Amino acid sequence: MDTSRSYLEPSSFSKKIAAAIIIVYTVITLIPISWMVMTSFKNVDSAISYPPEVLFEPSLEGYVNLFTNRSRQSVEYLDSLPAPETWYEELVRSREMVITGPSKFLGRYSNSMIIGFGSTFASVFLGALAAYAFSRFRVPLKDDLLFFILSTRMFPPIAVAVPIFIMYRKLGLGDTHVGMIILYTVVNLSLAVWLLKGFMDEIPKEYEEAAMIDGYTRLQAFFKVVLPQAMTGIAATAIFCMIFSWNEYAFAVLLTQFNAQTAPPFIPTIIGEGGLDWPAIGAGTTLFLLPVMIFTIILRKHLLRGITFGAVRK
Amino acid sequence: MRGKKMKKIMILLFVSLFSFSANSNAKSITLGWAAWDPANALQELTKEFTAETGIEVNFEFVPWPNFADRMLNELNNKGKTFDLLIGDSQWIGSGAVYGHYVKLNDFFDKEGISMNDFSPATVYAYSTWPKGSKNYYALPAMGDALAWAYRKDWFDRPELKSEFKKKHGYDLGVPANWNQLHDMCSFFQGREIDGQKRYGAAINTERGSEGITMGVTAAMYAWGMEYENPNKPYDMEGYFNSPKAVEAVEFYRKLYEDCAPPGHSDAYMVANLDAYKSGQVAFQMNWYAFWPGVSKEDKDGRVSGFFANPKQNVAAATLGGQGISVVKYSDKQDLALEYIKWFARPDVQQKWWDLGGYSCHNDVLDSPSFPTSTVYAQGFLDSMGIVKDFWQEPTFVELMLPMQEAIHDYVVNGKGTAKGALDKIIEEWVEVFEADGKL
Amino acid sequence: MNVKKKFKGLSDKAVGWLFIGPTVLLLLAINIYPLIYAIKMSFTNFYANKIGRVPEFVGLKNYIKVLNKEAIWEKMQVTASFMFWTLLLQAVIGLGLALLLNRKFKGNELLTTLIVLPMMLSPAVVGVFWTYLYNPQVGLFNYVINFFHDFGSFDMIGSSVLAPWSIVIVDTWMWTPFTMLICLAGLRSVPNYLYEAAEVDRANKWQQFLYITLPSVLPFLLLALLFRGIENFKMFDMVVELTSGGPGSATELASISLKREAFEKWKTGYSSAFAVILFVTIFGFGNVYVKVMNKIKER
Repeated sequence: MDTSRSYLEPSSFSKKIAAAIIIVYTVITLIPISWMVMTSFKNVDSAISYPPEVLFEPSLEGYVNLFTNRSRQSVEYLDSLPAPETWYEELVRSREMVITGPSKFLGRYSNSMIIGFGSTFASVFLGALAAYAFSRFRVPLKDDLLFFILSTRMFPPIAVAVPIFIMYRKLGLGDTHVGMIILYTVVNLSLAVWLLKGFMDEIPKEYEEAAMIDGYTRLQAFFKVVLPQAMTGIAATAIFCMIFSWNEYAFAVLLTQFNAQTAPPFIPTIIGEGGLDWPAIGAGTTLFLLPVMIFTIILRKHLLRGITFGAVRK
Repeated sequence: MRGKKMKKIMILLFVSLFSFSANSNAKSITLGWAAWDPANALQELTKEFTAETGIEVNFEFVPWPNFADRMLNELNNKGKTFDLLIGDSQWIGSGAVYGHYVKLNDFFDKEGISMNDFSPATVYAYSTWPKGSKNYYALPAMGDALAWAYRKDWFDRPELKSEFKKKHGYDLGVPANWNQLHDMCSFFQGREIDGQKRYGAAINTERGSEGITMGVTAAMYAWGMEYENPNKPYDMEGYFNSPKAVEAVEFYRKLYEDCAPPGHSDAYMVANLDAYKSGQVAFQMNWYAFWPGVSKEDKDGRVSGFFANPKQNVAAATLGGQGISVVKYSDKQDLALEYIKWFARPDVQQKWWDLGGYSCHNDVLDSPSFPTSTVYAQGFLDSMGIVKDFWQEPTFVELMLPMQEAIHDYVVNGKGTAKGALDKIIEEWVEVFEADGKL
Repeated sequence: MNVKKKFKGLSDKAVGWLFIGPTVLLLLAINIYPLIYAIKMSFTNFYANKIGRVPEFVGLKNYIKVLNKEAIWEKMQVTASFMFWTLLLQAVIGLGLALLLNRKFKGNELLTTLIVLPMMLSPAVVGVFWTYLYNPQVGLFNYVINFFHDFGSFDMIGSSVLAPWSIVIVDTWMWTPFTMLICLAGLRSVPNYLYEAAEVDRANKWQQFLYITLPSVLPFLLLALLFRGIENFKMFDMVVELTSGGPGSATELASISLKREAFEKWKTGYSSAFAVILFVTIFGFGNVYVKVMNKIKER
């Protein structure tokens, strides 16, 4: 066994070379992301210093700026105020500004949460139903339907955005959470159906048939036997749907304004007192990346499998 | 277990959904404007309105680059977010024609608010549609024009003064025309002052919204460009692309190439402020709205001077500024009107100016102490007498975008000729006016 | 069939429609209906912002206008060259990385996860953050490049020569992991016995790569490129935030131009015609590509 594998296994020298190249690539590719995280801990001045500072005194100014609105005041006015009560007030005061209120970031972030999770849940649920039906039943025009579902992915979002805008305006769904959840659900559906069908195909029919012989209805068998079996696939699909709706920008910028706007169109508009506030943008981006990053790392095996499935299909 | 958790999550989701869309306090209105210094001043001023009337005012300030996009989308969506909107001067046409704004004539008559009390240029630009008629869709709220700030402290240095005099034969000071402006900007370009490399001027070059148009027209107006034949509306050939206009555009490109700091290829208000505040440039082009902030933040030896847009063939300046309008889709128009009534009061207008807003009320502007109240007040008065604006047609975005693209392509991208760019713009404009039935 | 009838509850047919129904209905309502609506509007001079103005039927006028417009062809060219370079770079780098990762050295799983990270970011946020990295005065990108060779300060976004490359670099940085992952999936699906047989036939490593590895990974690579091609044809968010199409129109992709026509100028009829043309283009190219891909697969 060992000897037969030896000539298939790459030599340890070539492994070392491969590892070295990959490590170099990984380091280079991570520089922008690490730079973003580092910038979030800089203060406004060191963020725009040249040469760029690699070593710097960490500051939470970016995070404070991200969560507050501030206005500049004269020194005399600041002196007339009572001493700052909290550390973040002190930080803002040291910049000759006062906090005028909370910023919109939390609202935008929770919009992202509501719309992201809502649409992910809906598209995975509907996708699982459809995938099961395609996998198990004789559906008339099955291949055509499946291709139709896949082809909806090719639409440039902006091509259908105007009709959707007009439709939503009539229905009062424009700039609402429900409207955006429905929209993202539909965009994700095609992917969800295709991915989940692959996973469903892998679950032996005999499982649910046995359950049905035991007196389960088809529906019960689906929910109690098939769905738990497909959990891996559901997790992988959910991540893909989540990444899309979490990061989506085109529809969000076109169809939402003040009520249901998500974080991606908001973060680029964080403006400091002059120019873009890079530490605050870095902070927003870091906080925004965190959930997806954690998910990815926890579920990385499923993720790879999901992509493999997506590729094997078609 | 799993099912129960799911249910809980779903309930939570729905609760949060509805709590978000629920309407807050009935005795409150929402005002929309751009996110900039004057908006903070207005927020401060409005505290008195709330104290007087008990009506809460919520503010929604949108950053400039997205301002037009977001607000116009909101209006086109018939959104109810805003009761009051301080919209850009160019929007008045679409606000009136497409019915986004409430017509204010009856209200003005009833409350005894007279447009004769406001500076004529601002009433014309911010309130009326069709232009110059007596149909009012806004109250002039914030007068503004494009002007220049410069580093007075550098200008006052003897060694720089004498070097400049030797080179150009006249004194370093407020430029009398655009040629002098170019002399001075290029004098500072690449010069080392206090151990730091400095550049000439931060000028408008933004591509996305209206930036470069608002910059290049400052030159074009000063050269004497007219948009159309005064006797034959919408006849632009030979006016908008006249030799004078072409020369102005060419000059603007020269200014960009010779005097802009590196990386200043997509810059508008905040980027200009940034370049100036960080000590990179000797000049910045910007709106009067920012001057209170700029002069307040002079420190570390920085002294700012200000001047109105220089003359070339004629004295002219690019108009900015906004009027305040009541949104047709609002459910609380009565409260919104009450705000306008309060805002139009002369004593409130005076406080507005004191806080850093640019009042358009004659009582404020004509007061003998006004010209000396700040270093830029006289310049503001001068500028408001010579302002010119871009098209205010309902189709103004359709007119703006081709100009942005063609001018940016010529000035920043260095493609083609100035005449070619202007010809291309006219071609697009003719198409727009034809589709709109104006031609 | 008879066996199944014995079971309780809804018939399979009913369950089938119950399960597929919502998906198909939603797709019809939010995808197909808008598309048909867009096609309908493309024959009119409708303006969605001009409330109360009755649109007129104008026949093929909008299509003729779009196709005759030089500026639109320029934008198509910009899009085509953006797609060509991003796909080429992502294919080469992605495949290379996959081949290296397939050596299964210690820690390759962790490194794969790290390499994939840029893909998880929001393209719009990536775009705005790269304007900071590209800034000629304070940006890291210029600093690093100048560290190796002193070019002086250069403006990636403001120069018409460099700007198209600035978006290619960001897109490649972000999406090479995608190609890499799919190629990796392909490599892992190659059965070992093929290599064993090749060893027996005394084929050298290069021949093994050429005759076994490459043919088996090629369909996967082509598929990855299809997905990337579709996505980059629709590309909007990252480029809007990075260059907003500038300088001039040097990076104005077709979809950015479409957005301006549709949502800023509100020329709904005209922009619908533009959208339909784009859609037909991508659909046509997509179909031809899939056919070619299937032929290669069969071989």
